[in-house]
Parts: sequence; C-alpha cells; structure tokens
Amino acid sequence: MAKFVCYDSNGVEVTCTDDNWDNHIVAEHPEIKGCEVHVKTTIEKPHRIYQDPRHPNTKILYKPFILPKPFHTQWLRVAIEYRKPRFGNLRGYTLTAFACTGVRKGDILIWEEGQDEKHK
Amino acid sequence: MRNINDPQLNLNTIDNLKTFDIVYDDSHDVFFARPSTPRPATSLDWEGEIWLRIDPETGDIVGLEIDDFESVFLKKYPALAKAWQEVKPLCHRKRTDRHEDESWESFLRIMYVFFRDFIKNNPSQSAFGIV
Repeated sequence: MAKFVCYDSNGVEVTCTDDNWDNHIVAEHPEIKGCEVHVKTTIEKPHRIYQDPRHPNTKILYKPFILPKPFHTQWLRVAIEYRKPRFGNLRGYTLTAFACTGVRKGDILIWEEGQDEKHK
Repeated sequence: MRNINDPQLNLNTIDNLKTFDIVYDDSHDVFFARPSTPRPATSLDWEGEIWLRIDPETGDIVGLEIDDFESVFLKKYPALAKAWQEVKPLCHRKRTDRHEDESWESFLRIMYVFFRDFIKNNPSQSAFGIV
C-alpha cells in the first residue's frame, strides 16, 4: 500500500510505501511524523537536487524551512531511488526522509532552484 | 535570504553512545545507534560517512546513522567489520536478550571507542548556510 504517490519535478511518479514510511522513515526519524505533505512538497518542488555518488539511480532532494518547529530552520532531505521496469515507465520510490543541517559530503549537485529546467 | 541554523554540537554528550541501542535495517543497509525510543533530531553530516543526529535545541547527540553500512562503511573500516560479523545475528529490530551476550557488550565497547575517536579526529562538514 502507498502512503502517498506524487510526481517529481520531472513528472516521474514517486511512491512512498506504507512500510517504508512507518518502519523506516518515521520509526527512525520521528521528527518526520505527520510531515507527509512536506515530503511530498520537497519531491514536487525541491530547492536542490543532488546525485548520490554511490547509487546511480538515487537522487537526493533538499528543501529548507519547510518542517515545523523546532526543525523550521533545518533542511528536509529526501532520497529517491528510480527504477525502470522492463515494461512501463520510470518510477521513483522514497528511500528515506529526515531533517538535516546540510548536504552530505560527496553528494553531487545537479540542479538548484532558479537553474534551467533541462539540468534536472 | 535566510540562514540555516546550525545547532551547536555538544561533543560532551558523545558518551551517550554507550547507552544507545543498535538497529540494522538490512533492506536499506542502514545502521542506527540511538535510544531505544528514537528521538526527533536533525542530522549533521560527518565527513560524508556518518549522520550525527542531534537535538536542535541542546546540540546533544541523540543518535547516529550510517548509510551503506556493510557495502561501503565496513569495507573502509575492517576493524569494525570483524566485530560486526559476530554480533549481526543478534541485531534485529525486536529487542531480545542480546544485551546479556558477551559479544554484544564487546561490540558496544568497540563501537563506542571507534565512533568517539572518529568524531573527535575528523572535522565536521559545514552546512549549506545562507539560502
């Protein structure tokens, strides 16, 4: 079952499963409890997109100032793995989401708000 | 422009690690050390290898998280890998009597010393700053 389904800024469908939401994201990052809408907004309208250098199919999305207090001055980080089934369109799946102070060293910036859309 | 607020990390709370529970999510290859009931926190990148989870108001360390734990991290730090292999079978999401196991206690000591030294010997990664 899907906790939510939305579309990333390139129009690719992204699913967050109930299992992933309950047993990974919220279980280990309780600051995200009740923040489904903020995670969806970050997927739909990120501020920055990074490439995960360890996983070619994973992108990291960041959006600042979106979480409720006391995390309102932090970033929301959402990792999405993209898979292309043999038949069908590319789809994304949330891996994790949590509050953070900044980017992980080594992640590669590939797009930020205000840049030409084609760089995504 | 607005500033991302970097909570002041309280390194004096690094001993909290001694009391943390260990959880390994093998479907995502993520290692967690945190209180038995995880606390809300913001994550601070430490050299691209560890997320230190800290209380945004006090700066206290309330957990740590390592992505790609077996596939990347342990290959880089084989000393920890050896200890991990002994205790991994004990490390499930549901708590057991693993704390009475000698190898478990040994791993907790090894883990504490490793991460204490890692954190103290490596500079932290700066945040995004102004947006």
